Amino acid sequence: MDSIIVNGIGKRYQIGGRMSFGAFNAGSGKKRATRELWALKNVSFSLRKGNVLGIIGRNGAGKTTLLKILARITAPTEGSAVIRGRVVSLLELGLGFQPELTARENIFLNAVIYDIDRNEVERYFDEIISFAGIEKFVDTPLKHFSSGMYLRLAFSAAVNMRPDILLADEILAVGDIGFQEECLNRLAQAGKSGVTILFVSHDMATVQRLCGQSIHIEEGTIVNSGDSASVIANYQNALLSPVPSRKAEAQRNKYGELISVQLLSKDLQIIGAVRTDESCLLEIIFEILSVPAQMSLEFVVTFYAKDTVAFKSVTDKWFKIEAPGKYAARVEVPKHLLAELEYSVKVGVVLRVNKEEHILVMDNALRFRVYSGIEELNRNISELYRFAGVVKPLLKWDFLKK
Amino acid sequence: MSTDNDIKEVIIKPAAKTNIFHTFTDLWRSRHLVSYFSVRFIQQRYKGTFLGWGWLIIRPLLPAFLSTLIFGKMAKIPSDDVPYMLFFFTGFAIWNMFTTALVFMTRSIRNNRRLFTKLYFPRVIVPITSIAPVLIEFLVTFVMLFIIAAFYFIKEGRFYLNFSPGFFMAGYFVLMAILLIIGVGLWTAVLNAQNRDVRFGLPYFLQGWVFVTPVIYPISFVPQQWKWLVYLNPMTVIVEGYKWSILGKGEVNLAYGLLNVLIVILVFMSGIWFFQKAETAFVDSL
Repeated sequence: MDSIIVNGIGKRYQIGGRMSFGAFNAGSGKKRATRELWALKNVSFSLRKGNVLGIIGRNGAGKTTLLKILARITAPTEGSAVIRGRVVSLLELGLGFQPELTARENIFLNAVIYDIDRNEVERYFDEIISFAGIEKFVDTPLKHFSSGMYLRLAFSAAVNMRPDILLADEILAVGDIGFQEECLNRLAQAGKSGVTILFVSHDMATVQRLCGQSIHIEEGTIVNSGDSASVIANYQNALLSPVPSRKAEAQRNKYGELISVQLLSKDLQIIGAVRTDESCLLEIIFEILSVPAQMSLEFVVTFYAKDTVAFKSVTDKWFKIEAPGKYAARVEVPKHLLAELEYSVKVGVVLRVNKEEHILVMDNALRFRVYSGIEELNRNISELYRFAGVVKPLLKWDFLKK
Repeated sequence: MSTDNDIKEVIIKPAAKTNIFHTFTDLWRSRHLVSYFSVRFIQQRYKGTFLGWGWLIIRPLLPAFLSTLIFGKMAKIPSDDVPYMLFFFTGFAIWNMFTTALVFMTRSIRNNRRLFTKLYFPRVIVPITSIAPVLIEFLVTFVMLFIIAAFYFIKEGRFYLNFSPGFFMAGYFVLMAILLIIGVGLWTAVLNAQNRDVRFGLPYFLQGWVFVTPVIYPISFVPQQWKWLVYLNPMTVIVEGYKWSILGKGEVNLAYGLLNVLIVILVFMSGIWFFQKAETAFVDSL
């Protein structure tokens, strides 16, 4: 049986202009001089019960809008959809959690928000706690939880509510690799037991692993659909710039080779995303092939966000290299610097041999997302404070009387 | 997981034509959520205050003392043969519930933006339950009425509260006030979600409104030729009626009472209608 049928869904947003009485006009169909944007146009697909569908596409392609419509957070402008069964949306983990309340209380609150009976939750309670691995902290207020525990609980409380349909948006990019792994296994298991899952992600390896089929959305329409392997291959071909030979050249020369770049948490776990209130490390792994004479190194990292250079950072000294071998350079990215965006990083290693400079470059060496910290999640952010820009540094303020 | 036969099917369509009665069925089906949000709003109100629940008693008393001094003693405004303090406190209690609740409702959507943009639930619950703390405060003023009356009983040997069947009409006037708050508040909450002018303008508007409502003066104080104007204000009948129920003094007129029901129901329905109509647009613009 189909558990989701989407039929010609379209969503129009009105942008700009003062929305003063927009509410009136939206219903009456009067046209105003605002710019219109179709976030989705004529999207149709259906999904059988127990299938896991990957949704891929660039940022702003309309993936989240689609999930929001299916989660009934926003209404479509045209088209219709049929949803069969209980929907649990993982659009944002831990929404509605109250830091002052204990884990136990929050689980019941969460159930209220999903409109699930108290008796029913009691039956799942032990499972939620044990999957989250917080048996010892059941009666501890959430404000004392580490961010990892918080996320575990949030994921566990959502996924163990016996949904028929799960809508997951990029959530698994948060947390350490071990936790991501557990979540993925749990989702895969849910899929096998008959839960229908829509899974939005930028992580192609995960999509391929978890989802039998995928759809590729570009500018609000489905441009490709079918089995995940071929949809992903097509998508990646479209994304990659067609100059791989030159890039390979730049990554390697006779003195050295740039091997890989990865993102680490402050306790040196490999992670795929980071939160604004946590610092992270970039690790650049490279190999020095030969050291003919005196050799020193300098590193340059460039962070891109929203198609522009967010910032660039250069090492403040030259590092001496005495022997060939594999090396790693780590640079700490402090907390409260990055904004809630997707960043890509370009890495350059400058090898100075006999006053000559040989540069190794890796374009698009790393791509990762930054998420809001817990405190920010629980703050009511006024219009005035809404974020703009490509970095979000926390500056030091002083207040004095003059 | 639900079994196949009790599976719930939902059809998602463009914002449907407004049906006011859906709001009532939604509210009933999500009654757990209604109580959750009510409790949450009440807790938020008093969290982090030193005096905590003590504010419940201080807040209504202070204006009552000041007004008794200024309007009762100095300006000598009549108070239907009831001590001015008691007279003012009764009317002010329900008027204050009205204005405070309206301010709360107006801010409610904007203050809970994250919930609106990340979660599906009958959203009308948020503005409606945001008045829960105000209702608690109102109940406290109701208890305080008895204490003040007891004070005058000791002082003057006369008990001013009116224990006739009319006393129970107080509940009716409170209900009318709540319906009016919800009606007006749904408009201001939605408009405030899109345009901050409402938030700045509302307090001024309310400050003016109090002067055409019999709070600091009894309706008998209004010259006959202006009375119709005062009665156009739906809060007039509510405040005067509440004082009449509690104190047994004041003018209550069946014709004006019926007109009032009509106005209140119309405003209430229009609020729900407007909220439904605007829902998609304001959620997208948050």
